[in-house]
Amino acid sequence: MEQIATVILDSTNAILVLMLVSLGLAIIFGLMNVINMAHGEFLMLGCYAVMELTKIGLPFFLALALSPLIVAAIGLIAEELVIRRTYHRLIDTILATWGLALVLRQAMVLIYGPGSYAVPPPNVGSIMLFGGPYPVYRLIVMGVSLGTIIGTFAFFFGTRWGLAARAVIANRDMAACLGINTRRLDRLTFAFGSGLAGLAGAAMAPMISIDPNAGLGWVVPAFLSILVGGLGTVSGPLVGAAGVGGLDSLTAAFSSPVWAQLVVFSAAILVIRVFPNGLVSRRRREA
Amino acid sequence: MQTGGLMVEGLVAGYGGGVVLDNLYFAVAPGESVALLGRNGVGKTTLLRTIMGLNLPKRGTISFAGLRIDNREPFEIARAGLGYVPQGRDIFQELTVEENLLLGNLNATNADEVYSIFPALAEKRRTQGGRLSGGQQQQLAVGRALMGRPKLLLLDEPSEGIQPSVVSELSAILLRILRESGMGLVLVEQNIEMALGLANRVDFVDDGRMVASYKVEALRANPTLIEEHMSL
Amino acid sequence: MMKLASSSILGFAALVFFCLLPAVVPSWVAADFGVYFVYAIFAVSLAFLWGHAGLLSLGHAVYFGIGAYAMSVVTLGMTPGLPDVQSTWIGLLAAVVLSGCTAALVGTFFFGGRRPLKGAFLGIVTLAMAVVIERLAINSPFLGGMNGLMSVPPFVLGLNGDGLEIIDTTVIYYLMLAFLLAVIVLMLHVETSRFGKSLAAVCENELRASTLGHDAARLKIRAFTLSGALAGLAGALFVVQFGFASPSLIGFALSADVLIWVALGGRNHIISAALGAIAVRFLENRLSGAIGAAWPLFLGAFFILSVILFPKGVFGEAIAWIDTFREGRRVRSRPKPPAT
Repeated sequence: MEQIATVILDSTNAILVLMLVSLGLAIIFGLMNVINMAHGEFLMLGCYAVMELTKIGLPFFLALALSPLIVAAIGLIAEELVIRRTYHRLIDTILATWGLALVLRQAMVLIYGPGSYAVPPPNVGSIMLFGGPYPVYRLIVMGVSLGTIIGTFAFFFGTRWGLAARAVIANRDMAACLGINTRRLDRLTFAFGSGLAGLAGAAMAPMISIDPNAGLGWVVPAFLSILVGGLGTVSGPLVGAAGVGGLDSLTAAFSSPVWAQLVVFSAAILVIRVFPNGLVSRRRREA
Repeated sequence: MQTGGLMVEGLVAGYGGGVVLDNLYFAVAPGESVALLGRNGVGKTTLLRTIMGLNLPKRGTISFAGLRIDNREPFEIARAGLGYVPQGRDIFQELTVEENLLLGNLNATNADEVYSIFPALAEKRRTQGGRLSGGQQQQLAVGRALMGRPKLLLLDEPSEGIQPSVVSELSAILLRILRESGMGLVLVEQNIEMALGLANRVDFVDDGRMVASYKVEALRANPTLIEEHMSL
Repeated sequence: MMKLASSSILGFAALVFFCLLPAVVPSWVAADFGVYFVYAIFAVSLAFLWGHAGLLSLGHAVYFGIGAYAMSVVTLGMTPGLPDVQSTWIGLLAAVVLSGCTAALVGTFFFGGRRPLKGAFLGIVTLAMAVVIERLAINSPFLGGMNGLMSVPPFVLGLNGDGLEIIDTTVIYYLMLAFLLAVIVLMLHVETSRFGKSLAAVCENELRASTLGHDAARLKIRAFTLSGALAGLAGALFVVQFGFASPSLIGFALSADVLIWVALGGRNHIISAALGAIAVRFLENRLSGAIGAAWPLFLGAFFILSVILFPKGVFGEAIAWIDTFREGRRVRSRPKPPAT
C-alpha cells in the first residue's frame, strides 16, 4: 500500500513538473510561433541559478523564488538578440533555438565545468502520508507547480493581458490590427515561458544532478506532450503532459526507466501519428 | 493638398514574387468616405492589407495624418488611428462578444458605447463569437473596430454572406456613425447600392491601379459608368 | 552545350583542390580528411532530404548508425547464422540495405495515409525516434551496449575478408574521395531526373503538385529511403576507418552535428552541404586544440548568425555570389540594343 502511494505521489510530482515545462513551451509556440529547442537549457539554467544563489548565502526558498526571474531575464535577452530575428520562418526558429541551446550549454561548461553539482534540499523533513514517510520538499514542489499552473490559467482567462495573449494565439494578424502590441507581448511571452522552465529547474534542483546536459532530457518529452495534447488550447499541453508523464512514471516504477522512455516515446509518436492535431485540439495548426 | 488623411503614392505590392498593386495612387481626406469598386482580383483587398501593414510594400509610400506608415507594424498603424474589418470578419471565434469588443480597446472599461450602437450585441455579450449569425458577426467586427475610435475605417466586403435586410440595417448604422463622428471610411464592396449609399466618392481599381474616380452624385446621375468600369 | 551550374563550378574547384591536397599535407592530415569525406556523404544525404525534398530530419544519425553497426556486425563475423561471412562488400551492402529499409519503413509510417507528418512536427518526431533508437542501442548486448562494437576491421578488398587490407592513409583518402564523388554525381543526377523534379514540385507546393498527379506520399517515401541508404553508406565507410561503432553514432549528438554542417554549408545544394561538413570538421579539429571547450560555443554562435544573416549557408552564399558574378558578365557582354 505504502509503495503504491509513493509511486502515485512521485508520478504526480513528475507529471506536474512536466506540465510546467510543457506549458511554457506551448505558450511560446502558440503565441509566437516559435519552436524553442532551447527550452531544456532554460530549465538547466534554473538549476544553476538556485545553486549559485544558495552558494552565496541566500536562504533556499528565496533562491527558488528569484531563479525563475533570472532565467526570464536571460530569456528576454535571447529573445531580443536571436528569436526576434527569426519570427517569420518557423523552421528557422528551430535552427536558431537549437544553436542557442548549444551556446547556453557550452557557456555553462565554460563557467562551471562539465561535471555535476548537487544542491542540498532544504531541511523541511518528511511527513507520514498514506502509511509511509514522504519528503515534504517533494510536496512543496508539487504545490509550487500546481500553483503556478493555476496562476497561469488565472492570468490567461482573468486579465486583460491574458485576453490579449489569447487573441494573439488565436489570430495574430487580427490582434495586431486591433492595436495589440505584439512585439511587447512576444518579448514578455518568451521571458515568461523560459521563466516557467527555469522555475521547474530550480524546484527540481535538489532532487537531480546538476550539469550542463540536465536540460537535454526535457525537450523531447515536453514537445511530445504538447503534440500529443494538441495545440491551439491552453489545456492541450496539460493533457499531453499528464499522459506522457504518467505513462513514463508508471512504466518506470513497474519495469525500468530505460523501458519507460522507449514505451513512452513510441506511444507518443503513435498517438501523434494517428491524431496529428493532438487529443484535445480544436483548431488545425499548420507547422 | 491635405496633410491629414490617408496618402498612398506609387505603391507597388504583392505576395511572394508577384505584383498585385502596380504603381497605385490613392488619397482619402479626413472625414471623407470612399468606395473602392472593381472586379475580383484587381487588388482591392491587397491595398487594404498593405495599408494595415499586413503586407510589406515593394515600393512606394503610405502616410496617414502626416506620418509614414508603410514601414510600420500593424499594431502601430492601428494606434495611429486606422481601423480594419477584414473580409470574413476575423472575429475571435472562441472568445465572447464582450471579450472581442474589449480587445478593440484594451484601456476601455466597458463596451457600452458599442452596445448602444448595436443593441443586438448587448443581448449576446456572453455568447461566443463563433455562435453568432453572419450579420451579428459583422456587427461585432465593426463594433470591435469602432472601440478603438479610429479616424479612418477600412471595411472589406461587409455585405458578403449577409441577408439584404441586415445589410441595409448595417448601412444605416454606419451612415449615422460617419455623420456623427467625422470618421473617414474606405469601403471595398461588391454591393453597389451599399457602396453608393455610404460614399462621397467612388474610385475604380483595375489591374492594380486606380483607373477612375467619381463623385457619388455623378455616378447616381450616370449609372452606366459603373457597368463600364466593372465589365471586362 | 549545357551550361554548368555555379554549384558544379564550385564543386569542380573543390575536387581539384582535394585531389592535389595529399601531395602537400602530411599523411595524418590526409587520414583526417578521409573521415571528413565520409561526413560529407552523410551531409549530402541530409541536404537531399531537407534542401531538395523539404523534409526536415532532426534525427538523421539513426541511419548513419544503422549503417555503421551493420558494417561492423558483418565484418566482425557476427552476422546471426552466418559466422563465416566477413566480407567488406557484404558489409557495405548490408549497411545500405538495412538503413534504406529502415528509412522506407519509417517513411511509410510518417508520410503514408491522408495526413502525413510535415514541417516542424516531422522534425520533432524524428528527434524523438533518434533518442529512442540510441537508447535501444545502448541497451543491446548484441550491439555491445554503451561501448559498442570494437576492433572493426578496415576495408578489405577480397571477397570475404581475405585479400588486400586498405590501411594506407593516402589510399583511404582517395577511396573515400571517390565514394564522395560518386555519391554527389549520383545525387545530382537524381535531382535533375523526373523523380527529382517531381519531388521538388511536391516540396514547393504539395497541394498543387498532387492535383497535377504527383503521388506525394510515394515520392517522399522514396526520397527518405534514398537518403537513409546514403547515410547508411556513410556510416559503413566511417566505421572502416574508425574501427568501432558506438551508440554515439546513432543518436542525438551526431544528428545535431550533421544538421549544423548542412545548415552552415548550405542546405540548398548538396555540394555546399558536403563542403560545409568538411569545413566544420576541419576547423573543429584545428581549433579545438587552441580554444578547447569554447569551440562548441563558437560553433553555436556562428550557427545562430548564419540562420539570421546568411540562411543560404557559407558555401551557398558563395554559389549565389558566383551566380551574380556570372549574370553580371553575361549582361555586360550582351550587345547593346540599337538606340531608338
